[in-house]
Amino acid sequence: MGALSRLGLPCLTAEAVAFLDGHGIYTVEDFLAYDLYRLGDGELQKQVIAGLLQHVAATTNCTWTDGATLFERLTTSTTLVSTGCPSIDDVIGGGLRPGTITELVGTSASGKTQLCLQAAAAAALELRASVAFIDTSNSFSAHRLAQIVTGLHGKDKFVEHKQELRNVARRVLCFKAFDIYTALRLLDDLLVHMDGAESKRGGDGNQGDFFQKLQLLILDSASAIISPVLGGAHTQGHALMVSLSGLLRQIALKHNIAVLVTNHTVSGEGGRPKPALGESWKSVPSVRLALAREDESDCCTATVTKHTIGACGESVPYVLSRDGLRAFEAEEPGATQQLEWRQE
Amino acid sequence: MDTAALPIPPSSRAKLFAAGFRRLADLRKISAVELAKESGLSQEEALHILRVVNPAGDNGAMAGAKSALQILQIEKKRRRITTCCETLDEILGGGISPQEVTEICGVPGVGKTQLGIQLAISVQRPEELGGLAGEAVYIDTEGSFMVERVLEMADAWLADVRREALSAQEPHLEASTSGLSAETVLSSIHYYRAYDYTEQLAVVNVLPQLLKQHPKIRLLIIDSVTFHFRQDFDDMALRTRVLNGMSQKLMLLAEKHDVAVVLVNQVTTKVVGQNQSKLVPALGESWSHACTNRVILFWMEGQRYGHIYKSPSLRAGTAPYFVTTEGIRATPATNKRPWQEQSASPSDLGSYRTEELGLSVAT
Amino acid sequence: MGSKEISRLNIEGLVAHRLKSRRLETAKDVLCKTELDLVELLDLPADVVAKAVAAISQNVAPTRRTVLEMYMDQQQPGDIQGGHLHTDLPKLPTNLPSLDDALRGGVPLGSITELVGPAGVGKTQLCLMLSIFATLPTDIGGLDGKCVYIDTENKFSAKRLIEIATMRLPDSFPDEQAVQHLTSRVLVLRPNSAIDLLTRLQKLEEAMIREKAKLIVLDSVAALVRSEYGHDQLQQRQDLLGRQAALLKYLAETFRIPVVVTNQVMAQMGAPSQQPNYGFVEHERKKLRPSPGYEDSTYDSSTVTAALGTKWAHAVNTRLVLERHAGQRYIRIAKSPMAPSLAFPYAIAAGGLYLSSSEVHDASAGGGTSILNEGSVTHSKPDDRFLMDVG
Repeated sequence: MGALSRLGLPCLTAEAVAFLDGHGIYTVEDFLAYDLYRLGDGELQKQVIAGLLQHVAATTNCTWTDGATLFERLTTSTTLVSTGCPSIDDVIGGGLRPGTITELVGTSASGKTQLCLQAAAAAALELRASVAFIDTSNSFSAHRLAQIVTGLHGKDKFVEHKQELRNVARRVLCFKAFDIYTALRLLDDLLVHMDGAESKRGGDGNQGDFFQKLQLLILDSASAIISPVLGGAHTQGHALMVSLSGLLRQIALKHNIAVLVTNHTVSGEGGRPKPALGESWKSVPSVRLALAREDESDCCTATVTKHTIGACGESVPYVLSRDGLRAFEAEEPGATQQLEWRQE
Repeated sequence: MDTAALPIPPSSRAKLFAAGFRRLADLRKISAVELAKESGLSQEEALHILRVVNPAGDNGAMAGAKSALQILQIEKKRRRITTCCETLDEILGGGISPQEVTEICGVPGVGKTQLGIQLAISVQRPEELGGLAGEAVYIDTEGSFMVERVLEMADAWLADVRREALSAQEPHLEASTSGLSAETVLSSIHYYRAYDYTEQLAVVNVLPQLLKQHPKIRLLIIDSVTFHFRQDFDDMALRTRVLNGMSQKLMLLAEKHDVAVVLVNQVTTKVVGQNQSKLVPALGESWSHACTNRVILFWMEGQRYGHIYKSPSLRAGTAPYFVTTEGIRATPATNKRPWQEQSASPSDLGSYRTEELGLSVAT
Repeated sequence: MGSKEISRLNIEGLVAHRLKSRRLETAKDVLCKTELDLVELLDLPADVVAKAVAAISQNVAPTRRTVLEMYMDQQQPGDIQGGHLHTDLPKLPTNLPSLDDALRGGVPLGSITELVGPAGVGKTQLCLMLSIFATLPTDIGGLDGKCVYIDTENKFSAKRLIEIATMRLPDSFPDEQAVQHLTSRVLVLRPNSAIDLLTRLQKLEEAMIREKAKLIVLDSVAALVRSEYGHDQLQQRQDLLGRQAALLKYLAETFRIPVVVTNQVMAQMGAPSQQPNYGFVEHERKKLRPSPGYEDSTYDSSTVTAALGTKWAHAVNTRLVLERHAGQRYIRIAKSPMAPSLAFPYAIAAGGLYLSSSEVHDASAGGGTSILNEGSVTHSKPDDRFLMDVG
């Protein structure tokens, strides 16, 4: 929104600005929060109020929709972004939903990053979408991504494997951000670029193409950059977290992108792990998937602990295999062999 | 983005806010003088804020981004630091990788420091032999670093490298090792001894400068990251934040200067249920997320093993290794010391095997 | 170093002023804050704060040395011949020949060596021997210095010291005068509490410079803390031990001297223990055989382990275990950066410890494993429960 003086609206004459200043109104937000009847009903006031309200309506794109339309949109037009693991897709209602934030929370070595890589691979391979991967803990491995792509790929029997792999790898962009300021700036820039790509419709070459096809944004891990700034005798850390979640949500909604973030665990009461980003972060993701690894086994479970439009509490066992996360099937004889994958 | 999230002093933030600059976009096309006039900030402060918003030479979001394809090509070319133990190298995908943070944990005496020293030496492997020809930084917090042990391992390593170069029968390979000597090996290891955690934190803070001055450094070892943080630290929440902050700094260093970061961690006893306890890596649950790779060294049946506990790119794997006079090796020592009796248990895996300090035993 | 005051660190201007007014007085105060904390607290731009933190760090960080420089410092001047570096640095010999060979000359300088064993096995005897050897002139393998002997169990006996000296080294101690000289060079401290011990260690630095001591013996490290701190005070106990370890290391390295400590053993209760739970491979759990001839009824549980837990064990650089099997005493290298695990049978005579034969046992072969290292098992004893890491 911004400062009134910088909007350049015709109704905001110097006189009008001075008048609003007198009421302590400097920004559009201030204006909207103000009791407009207290401004009076002179000619100037009317003009200003009408002009500003028009501006607000024009810039915010608020249109009414009814439930039926929303439902139809939900069921027909939304392509869900697969995580690349059908059984996990099933428990979260078909896949990652564009426009929402999905969170993976789990102990170390429970497969959070693996699932992120797999989702990136699946989106780039199956949807031919571009993927932005924001890596905050040096865990992005292109080698592993290629391995997972090959695993997914094998099923689809592409002939030109190498070429396909190159194309897939080209669609995944990795950004590094080791502190929250870098991450915020990055997300902000992404948003600006996406706005640009939208308006230009495929304007400036590769870059525009990337942003137009962007369907999945991954932040691995969110907690690694947020937890160092939380705590302390100030509230700024919290403000930064809110900014981050706001930006993620904005990107998700405005451009209909599926956002996947990870959150690590810390020991809570009685030594049991709990999410590092606690209560105030809880409202950010629409879907929260808890990953847990059983002690002394290779079998992990994924449990839906929050879902705004689907069922909660469902869980599915999985194993980390050479080709990525796979549903765990105890009776299948090949299951143990799958674990024996080797580095090529 | 909100201006509230900018890294600027709280007082400047408050003034911006009061003057209606709440969105980053509000600051994009304004001059410092204008901003100062409108917000009541001093011109210097205004200029500083604008620099934060639009840093010079910043190309925005696309600046640091690489596609997975580019990264794949870089990863393929990347050379790893060998552990000098083929079995460990195999599960590590060839050794310790630059640009990654690897944690090594294990019980006392299992060979954590030995492995650290071995890496500090083998990072110097000549490029002609597929090495990194790098230097190492060793940050010692426990005082377990033994100079004579380094020399002993360096001598053995030099002999190995020379033998390898010789057997290839290519003159340029032989030439590549001619510049190496015990002196060059020792002088390529930069050593810091940190006596408390303040010093440890300070060293981590001065590393960027050191890495700039010595661009050949390819390996950074902190042995151990744990020691000082396990005492004198009452405020656990603060400890977590300080440690997390440190690990993010180390990750940035690893990425920016192409160095491998190796963190040695201790183990601690954790009570599970009644009268039961288990050994777990120290520093708690939140720290376990701080490293990219975690390698656990342990004893089983009198034999040392390394285990990849977590890694984004490597499969879980376990491999045996030996600590010999020469260093970390895949086979037990070959040349016995003179005082070693030849009769000593030939059927054993090796006479240099230490008995179970480790994790097995006792039910 | 951490308590270095900001006022001494050449930080000037606004930053120094703000730091002072926010009561951030030492380097420790500043470095323990995250950068964001500092920006908020000092109300200064992030880059200004970053610069100040860098300057403070630069000041506080220890100096960098290459390993070659360290090697040159540790080597005796005449020892570097023909530019060739050789691996044997000065040591304090135990004068137990095979053990010295295995340890590459003896007890290492600049680090902590621990002697672990049950009561009466000869730990104190070995300490007395080492004290004597440290006072000997360098040409016969000594360190030619005084010895600080910290006796927490009131077990130091001057009479026994003299006996060992005269019986073992009649040539070096031919007369009363030589013996007197010896006794005057072994300085005995008797701290009466764990806190007292810690304070004395803190002040030892000055005494070390003044007395030119070349050896510190702490016999034993466990007695005071174990008697004073009950199971409900494990956290405090671990803190205290940690600080003690840090101080001992500091003294060892600063003065390049050996530090020898003794440690007790404790019985392990027979509750079932587990493999450390890292979530991998099913281990075959190995039962420790009760050693049939084990004499001491106090340890009939058959599993004894070094006291004080894992945290302390991490602090020890070299660990020698003294133990008895079937009437025979063994000294075993349980942890060493240099030596393999070997066990040597020994006996105690008037002149102290003597190796019984040239026999060397590969300690990995079985037999000699009744005293476990602390990390070996998961303890059921509350003695070792400490430190729940809070995330």
